[in-house]
Amino acid sequence: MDFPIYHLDFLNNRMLIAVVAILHVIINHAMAVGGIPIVVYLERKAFLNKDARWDHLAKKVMFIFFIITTTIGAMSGVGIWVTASLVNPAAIGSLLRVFFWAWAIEWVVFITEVCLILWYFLSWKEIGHAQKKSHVRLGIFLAAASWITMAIIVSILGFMMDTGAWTGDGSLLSALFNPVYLPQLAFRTPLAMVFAGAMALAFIPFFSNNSLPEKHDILRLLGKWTLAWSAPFALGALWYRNAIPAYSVGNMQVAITTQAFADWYQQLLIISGIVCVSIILIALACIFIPKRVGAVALVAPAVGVAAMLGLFERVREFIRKPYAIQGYLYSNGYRAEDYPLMKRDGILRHSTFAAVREVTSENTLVAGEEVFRLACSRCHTVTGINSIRKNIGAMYGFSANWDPEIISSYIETMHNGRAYMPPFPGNAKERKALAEYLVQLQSHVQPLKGVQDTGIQGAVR
Amino acid sequence: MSNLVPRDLPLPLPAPAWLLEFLLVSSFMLHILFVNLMVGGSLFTVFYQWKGKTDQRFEELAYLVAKTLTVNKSLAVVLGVGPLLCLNVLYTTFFYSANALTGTAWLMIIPLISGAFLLTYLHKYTWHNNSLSRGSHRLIAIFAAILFLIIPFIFLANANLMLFPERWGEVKGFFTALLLPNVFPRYLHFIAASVTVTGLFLIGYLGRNKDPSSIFQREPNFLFEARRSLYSLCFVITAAQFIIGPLVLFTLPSHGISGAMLGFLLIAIAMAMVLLKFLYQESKNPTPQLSKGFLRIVFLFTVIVAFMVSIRHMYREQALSAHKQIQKEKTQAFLDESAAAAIQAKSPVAEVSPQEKGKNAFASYCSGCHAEATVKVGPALTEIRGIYKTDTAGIVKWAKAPGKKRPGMAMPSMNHVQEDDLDAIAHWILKAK
Repeated sequence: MDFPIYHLDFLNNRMLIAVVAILHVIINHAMAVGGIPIVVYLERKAFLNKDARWDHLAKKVMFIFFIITTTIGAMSGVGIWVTASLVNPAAIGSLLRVFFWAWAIEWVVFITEVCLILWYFLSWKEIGHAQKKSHVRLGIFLAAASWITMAIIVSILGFMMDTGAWTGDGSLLSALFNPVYLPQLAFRTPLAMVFAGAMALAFIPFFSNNSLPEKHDILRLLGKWTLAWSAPFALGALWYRNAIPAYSVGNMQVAITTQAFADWYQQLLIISGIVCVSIILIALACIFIPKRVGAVALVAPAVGVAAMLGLFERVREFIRKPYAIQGYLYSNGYRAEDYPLMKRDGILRHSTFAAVREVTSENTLVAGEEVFRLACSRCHTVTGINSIRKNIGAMYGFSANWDPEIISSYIETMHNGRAYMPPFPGNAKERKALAEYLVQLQSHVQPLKGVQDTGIQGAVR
Repeated sequence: MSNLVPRDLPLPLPAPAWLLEFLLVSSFMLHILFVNLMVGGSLFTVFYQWKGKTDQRFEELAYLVAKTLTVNKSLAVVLGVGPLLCLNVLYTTFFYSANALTGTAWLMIIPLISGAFLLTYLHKYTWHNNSLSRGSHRLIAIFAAILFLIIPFIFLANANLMLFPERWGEVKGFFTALLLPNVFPRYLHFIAASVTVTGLFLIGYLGRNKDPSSIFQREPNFLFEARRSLYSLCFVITAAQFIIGPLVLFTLPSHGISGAMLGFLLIAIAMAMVLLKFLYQESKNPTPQLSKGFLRIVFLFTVIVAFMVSIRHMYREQALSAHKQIQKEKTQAFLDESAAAAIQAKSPVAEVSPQEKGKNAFASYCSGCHAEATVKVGPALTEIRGIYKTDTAGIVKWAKAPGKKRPGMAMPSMNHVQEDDLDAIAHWILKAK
């Protein structure tokens, strides 16, 4: 990747994207894509029954959604972009060029969505107002706009997992309608609806009851909503699971936990199952015995779905490995088709910003560190999360002396043994320098610094 | 100087460059308009609320401004996505390099802006809340304004840094990027423009509420008074731009300045002088209306902004033109080399015996962790032979879905390996026929 390398050695670069992205997806799914339909549904119910109490409830929920989506929601969306451009500029830059017009259309819809949400919320009409009917219609347009923006972005997520016919023809249409797109959309849409139902339920214990409908009536309605969307959600999940490309399925076990905790896999599957069943049970309880559902049971589904959604996004990010863009760009930022050149010349020679451009007998450790920065640091840290020291220690023991020969030969073939690892991009000299650098980490623990701290070290040339 | 120009991404631009540049400039103009209204609105809110301590009418005026702020800030963000998209596509490597060099500060725009937005909502929705003292309520607006005054530095440092790859080597983090020439003059230029844009917006916006209980319907003279003082303010700030503007120009490295750019600039300055005259006239008008006088000011101002945004783009193109040329050649040379290396690397595949095949596949897929007689990461082959004897299918089954039998690292699944390779490996390990 021919960019100055930004690096966070404590948090881990991928974790940075994950934190921002999961926050955004939680807000987007629960409070916009799923949230707006719930609010509009409540408002419409108030309008049809001429019942101001449901209208108050709708407005109260909408107030929370409005404040959060137009601040943290909007900014965390931009934040995914900002973090991705720091962590893997080659990937986001390539995606932007492929999907420019899709993103441009999404932008226009996004502007519409923001205008509509401002208009919808700031012009909320009292029940009985002559324009109440058109206000409800405004809400329906807003819900549609929210869904469309998500529907466009989901295509890009699918593309990263399976580039489909794009690899052959390079066209935007092939990229847009990649094989994972529609299944993932069919999965996310009802997921957002279920999540929004759970989120609204979680608010109820915190609402004081005057001027609102009876609590058990609210629970019954939200319980029905959540339950009704569970069935399409299950079908969507099944379709999506079957659309995941074959190369990814083997990664699933490591993806769901981590390499070190692969034996948690079964337990986590069980936990996910328990979360799903509990949500259905709580939804049923809300419908049939609403008076006996306590505050903890009302908050639990939202927490459960948020956790599962976070897990799902992690799995989605992990199973497309070793690629950032399947078949085209490895997660280390190198294009698959440039590998022969990199293997021949080495990566340092083709890195404008590297501190050294060639491995020599004098600069082995500096060169090794630079190779680590270029080839490994997008996913690994030295001292923080997914620390390379801990990974090597787990393989060869923390107390035994690490052997640069063994590590170097491991790096040569690691992509075969561990399908989620990209092949090492550099040449043999660089591989050996990297191994030397890794071995000296055993005794010299020094966090790796990014260009934001060191500046461009090769600049003196 | 050319040393630090990286290769471009080897994907074609999604549209002709001129179209992308047009989209960039036009969408940026819309974006910056609302950013100005956001920053300026925040400053006006603080100012009017402070005046409201002694004059209740200004407290009501401040509330009017605060209500527009929460709308304008949302539009500023959403309208920023378009120009950011174009910028990312047109200046990919230059922009991302600047981002990485100012890394942590660049990242901070997300929490800082979110925080500023939440404060503006808190300020607006606690306006009539009596549990909060007026002093602490005013403090919320002040905190928001401070954030709105800090955040532009981060954007300006990046917009400036991306233009000068020849200076990237000197930069160590955000604060050194801030010290490059031109950032501070540009900042002043921007803040001054924000006050003017918001001032003109308020002249047009105030008094639109026809509800008889609203402040300007109750006191029509206050409306004229407010408009007059806004005109005076716009006049003073625009006059100040005649000092700030040259400061911006003279601190810009000269290699980006072209004749056409100076020509455009002269036209814009001439128009600004006319604008100044109009502003002065209106500030002396005892009853300023939203008629001809106002409209011609808005029109002229819009044209001047369009000129300024275009001039800004002309400078960027000129400053980067040499770098872009170097980049283009460098990228093409790299792609040629890469294609040649790919052809070179393709060597004919020789036929191998099944045992040989198993041995080679073992070396590729397994030897990182397994060795003949020693424990590397996983068990030695001697031990595996003891367990499986002649059961090759058992090894294949385990490799595809490994369990975990011993402490230490678990074996990853070998599901991605071809079935016949796994089979050959198992046969080779067990020395089976």
